[in-house]
Amino acid sequence: MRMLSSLKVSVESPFTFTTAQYESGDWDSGPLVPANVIDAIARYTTIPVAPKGIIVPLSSEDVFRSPLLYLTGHLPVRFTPKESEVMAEYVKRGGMLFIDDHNHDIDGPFNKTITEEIRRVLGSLTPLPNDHELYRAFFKFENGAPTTSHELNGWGDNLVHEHLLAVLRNNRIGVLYSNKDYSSEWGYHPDNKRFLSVDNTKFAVNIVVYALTR
Amino acid sequence: MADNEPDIVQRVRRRLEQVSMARAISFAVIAAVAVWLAISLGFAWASWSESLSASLAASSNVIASVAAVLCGVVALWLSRKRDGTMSPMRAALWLEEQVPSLHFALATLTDVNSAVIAISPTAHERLVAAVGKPEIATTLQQTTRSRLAVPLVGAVVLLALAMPLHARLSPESANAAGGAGIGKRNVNGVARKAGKALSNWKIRVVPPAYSGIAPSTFGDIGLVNALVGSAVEVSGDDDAAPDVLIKSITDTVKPKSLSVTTSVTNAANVWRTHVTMPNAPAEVRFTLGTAIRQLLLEPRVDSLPVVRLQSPRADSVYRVATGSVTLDATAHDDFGLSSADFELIVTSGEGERFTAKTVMLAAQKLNGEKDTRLHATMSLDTMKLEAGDIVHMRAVARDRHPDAAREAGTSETRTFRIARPSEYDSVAVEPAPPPEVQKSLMSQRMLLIMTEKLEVRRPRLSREVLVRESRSLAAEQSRLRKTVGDLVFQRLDGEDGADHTSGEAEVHGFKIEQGKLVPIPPNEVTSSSNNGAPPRTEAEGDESPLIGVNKPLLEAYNAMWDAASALDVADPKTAIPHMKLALAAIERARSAERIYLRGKPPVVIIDVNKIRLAGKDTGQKNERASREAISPREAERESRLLAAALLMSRDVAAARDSLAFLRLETLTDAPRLAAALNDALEVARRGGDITNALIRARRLISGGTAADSLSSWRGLR
Repeated sequence: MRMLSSLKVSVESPFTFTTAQYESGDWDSGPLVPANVIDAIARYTTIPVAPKGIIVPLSSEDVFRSPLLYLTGHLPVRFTPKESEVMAEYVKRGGMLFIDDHNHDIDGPFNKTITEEIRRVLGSLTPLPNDHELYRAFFKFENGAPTTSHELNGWGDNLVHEHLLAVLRNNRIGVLYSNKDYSSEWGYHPDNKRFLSVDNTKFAVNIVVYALTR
Repeated sequence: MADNEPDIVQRVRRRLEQVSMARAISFAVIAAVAVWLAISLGFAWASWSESLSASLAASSNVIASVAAVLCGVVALWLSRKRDGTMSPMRAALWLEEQVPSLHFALATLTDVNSAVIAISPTAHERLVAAVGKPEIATTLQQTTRSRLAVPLVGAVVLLALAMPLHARLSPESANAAGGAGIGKRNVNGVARKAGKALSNWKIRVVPPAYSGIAPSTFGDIGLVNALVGSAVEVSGDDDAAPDVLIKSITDTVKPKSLSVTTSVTNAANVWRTHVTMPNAPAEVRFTLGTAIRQLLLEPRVDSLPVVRLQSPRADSVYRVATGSVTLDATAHDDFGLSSADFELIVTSGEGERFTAKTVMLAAQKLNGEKDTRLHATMSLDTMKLEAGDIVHMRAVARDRHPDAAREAGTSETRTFRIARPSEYDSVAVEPAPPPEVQKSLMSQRMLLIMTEKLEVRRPRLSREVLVRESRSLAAEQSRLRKTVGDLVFQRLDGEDGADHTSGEAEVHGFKIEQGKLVPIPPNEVTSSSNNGAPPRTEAEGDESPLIGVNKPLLEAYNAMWDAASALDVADPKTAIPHMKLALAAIERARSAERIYLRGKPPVVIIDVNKIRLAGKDTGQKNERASREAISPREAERESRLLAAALLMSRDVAAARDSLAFLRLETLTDAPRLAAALNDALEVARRGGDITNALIRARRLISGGTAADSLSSWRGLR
């Protein structure tokens, strides 16, 4: 929290949740996720946050303005040369790319193609240990990344994924990759959050705080 | 030489001559060594600071030596010039100086020819006896020592210093001495201390088998450039195997396989070190005794196959999944290809349900060819593609690298999409006519405008003109009402009739009352009214689904009936509200049928202040102001009160007196303080604890509240 208070002083413009728009596939499959994450950031932290997310083409250097990029989809993904170039540069400069498989299926076309593309552009994905500091960045998740209802219900690949995957740069997460389908888990109107006994978007706060402070 | 000259003069001259020469040589040695040292140190510094060219460094010893010799010669010449030639006269004079009683007799005898001056034998003997005393020999020795001591010692000391320095400053000397010297630094800043040990090794490079490159052998080199994974063998014939350490010299690439093994064969003391060429530049450092040497490894990376897709050149959208697509691609690899094919990922479905399958076309097994061409025809008919399906196609080629995790070279990805029937991909498609509801909407809006204009003109119109124009609008309104009615009935049974009778309406669960369509309540629906057909307006809750769907249109229909009725009696003012109602109802009906596509939900804007409960404060603000400074008189009273309170523990009577004095003083200008002090005095008199009373009094002095505690709750009055 002390870190967050210092952050409040140093940050000039509010944090703006950014969704990456890519040429192939359905980049806009999680339209309510940004609002839900913004709601969680506003609810639990003092981070200055813009009330509305933005959408930035992955081929545009405007992505360099965002410390965190959210990317999801169901369909196969093939990045264009420009998108690959910008994405590599983005991670090299210290940006954090959060990619979520909206199919929650390791045999799904999104997972197969995006992992290939990540390996080609940014390097291999490795399992992120469940005691990684990401899980302590704000809320504490003793058992690593929280499970989603889709995993527990056996949808998709009928797996409860024990780890998130990541590409590390200088011991910092450059790419955070999830097969847990947070895009579906967080894909509801924020007003309906009051009906949940446990807010399932708390992990999004950790991701944002990690991206901003590490 | 004169014949009369004593031998002693010649001996002294020779000794003095030797001393002079020895001094000159000593000075020459000192000068030469000093110059050599200065120049060698200068070269050594330049070499360490890497500002010395190689050619100059190679000739540094020669330059220093030549300069030293020259300076020595000059010093010798100068010294000899300074001392001058040692003649018999100078030797005689030196002796005269030692034996003053001669009164220059010896000098005269030495200088003058004996033929001119005759000297008696007796005198000669006396002269010889005078200069042949033992003291003269002693003095000569002392003179010799004193003149030679400093230069000789200086020369010896300087030489003693120069010898080890020479060994260290000269690389050749260092090698000759077995590697004990300081060598030049290499470009990496590592001091090379290699002496004879490690000075002659051989390197053999065996590239990976899949590359097809023949092994090669090199002599004494310091840099190996080879394919990643190549086996590098370094061998030498030193007495013992060196210690070998390998480390990466870059932090941009994570090195793999940084390991090294060293072995010594018994035959001829040959040692061998085996290193696998890593994927990042590395340094192998060999250490044997004091000798250190490095071998740099420069990896050459086996690049992925380069695949270029020639055809198709662009993504496509097909209206109908029929026909064929020609696929053409080329692939190239630097060491040879093992396989190549076209990879197709076919995705079907929408929303949350997708299925995908991968298809390979024109797969080729290759045997190390560096170039290949892929060609195939993709038949859309046989792929059984359906509307909405997407095909991602790319060419893939793999080289012969044995690593299972080796990536494949890929081309750009082309996407073919089969359009859904609802899509219009061409701007040449003629736009569809507006739906009936929209046509009605436009007419209703126009009718409303015309009626409003008629109402504005009404005061200026005659009765006949007003009735004629109003009834004209009424006829139009009736026509529109009939159109809307057709739409409603068309939805109900797929037919539209010219007139809608009450019996027809009852079939659909409506009845006509005074020209309006009204839903029949469920309890009035009879089996005969729907002619045995299942009731199409089954009630579910308060209204049937059909009524629910058509409710706006029914409302418009009925509002139009009212509007037409008013217009028919030339009352446009009454008709206008009904017309507006009809217009609004039609618009609602149009909106109700709008299809919101997935992916375009309403934009949610978070009210951050509301979430953080940081909205506007509409209640009383609880601002706190700093307390005003008390006046000097009150300050003085406060100090007196505190003093009395402190006194209370030691002298209660004195404290009570002080409080009483203070109370009296404040009776006139601060009656509340006086009352508080009175309370304190009363408590003190009873022997109770006056702390609270004093606190209350102090608050009154400083302007604070005087309440001891909250008042008791008295309830609502």
